[in-house]
Amino acid sequence: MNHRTVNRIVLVMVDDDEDDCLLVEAALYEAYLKCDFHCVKDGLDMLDYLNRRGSFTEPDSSPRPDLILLDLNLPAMSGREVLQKLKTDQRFRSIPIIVLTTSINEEDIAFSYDMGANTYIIKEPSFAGLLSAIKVVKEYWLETATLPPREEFASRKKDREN
Amino acid sequence: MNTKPSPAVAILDEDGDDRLLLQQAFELCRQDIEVHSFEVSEGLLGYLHEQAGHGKHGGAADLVILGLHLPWEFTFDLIATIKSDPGLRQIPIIVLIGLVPDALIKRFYDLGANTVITRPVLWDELLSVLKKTCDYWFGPLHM
Repeated sequence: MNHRTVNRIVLVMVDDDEDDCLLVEAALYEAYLKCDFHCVKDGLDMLDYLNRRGSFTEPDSSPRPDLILLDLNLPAMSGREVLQKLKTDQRFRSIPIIVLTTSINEEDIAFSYDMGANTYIIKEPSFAGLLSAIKVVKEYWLETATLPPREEFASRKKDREN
Repeated sequence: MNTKPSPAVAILDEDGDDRLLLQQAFELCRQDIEVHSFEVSEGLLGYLHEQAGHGKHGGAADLVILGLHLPWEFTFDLIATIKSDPGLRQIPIIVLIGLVPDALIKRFYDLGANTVITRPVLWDELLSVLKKTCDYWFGPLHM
């Protein structure tokens, strides 16, 4: 069991399509996956979010993610690049990254695992497909897995203040 | 698409009873599953390399389970070894742990463990957790 199931997890999704974000939010709601959900539009925003730069300077509006949902096809900075950047950054590599995509391309799968994605799951391009993916994510990542601890957040804040 | 005949899991645990429990749990989850269990890492790594040599799935086993009865330092080294080997790094590694300090959990994720799971003490709960793990990794959302 997850030792933090009592707290809301922070789920950050990277997707350039606002409608997709809304659909995911609707699916989270329907799957009873209670979380603090944030959607950022591209890879550059994801990095700004994590580093609290640009339009994400407020810690309250950009809490450290417990889980990241990443699509590989993104504008500005591709999902591949985001994955690579986060998994080679000591500060962020422990955050589980779920590649959630409609691509069944074996090269995409191999690349994602090579780069350290925690999991690669394929969703059907429909709301029903999305909902079942979200339910599976909930059952596995929230109810079965033990997510990384959160307190490094505090130490990062301290680093910034010093 | 997937041309493999059946999913394969490789288990490493120094405790014989636990190896058997884990094996049974996976076999209950899927009848067609191939479970390989190992007591020492040389056995596991030998198997993974051999499978990778056959070009299976771009990697070796479909899932590696590191059991509870392994020394921490040893588990860290093993994850690092697998995740720095281009032929093996794609294989998802699931680490089963008992109650441990948060810093250890973070270390496992830092080294590239795909999931850390707290192993329930009771058999029924263990079974349910492993069934969910098996359903997840061998379910319709994965290739």
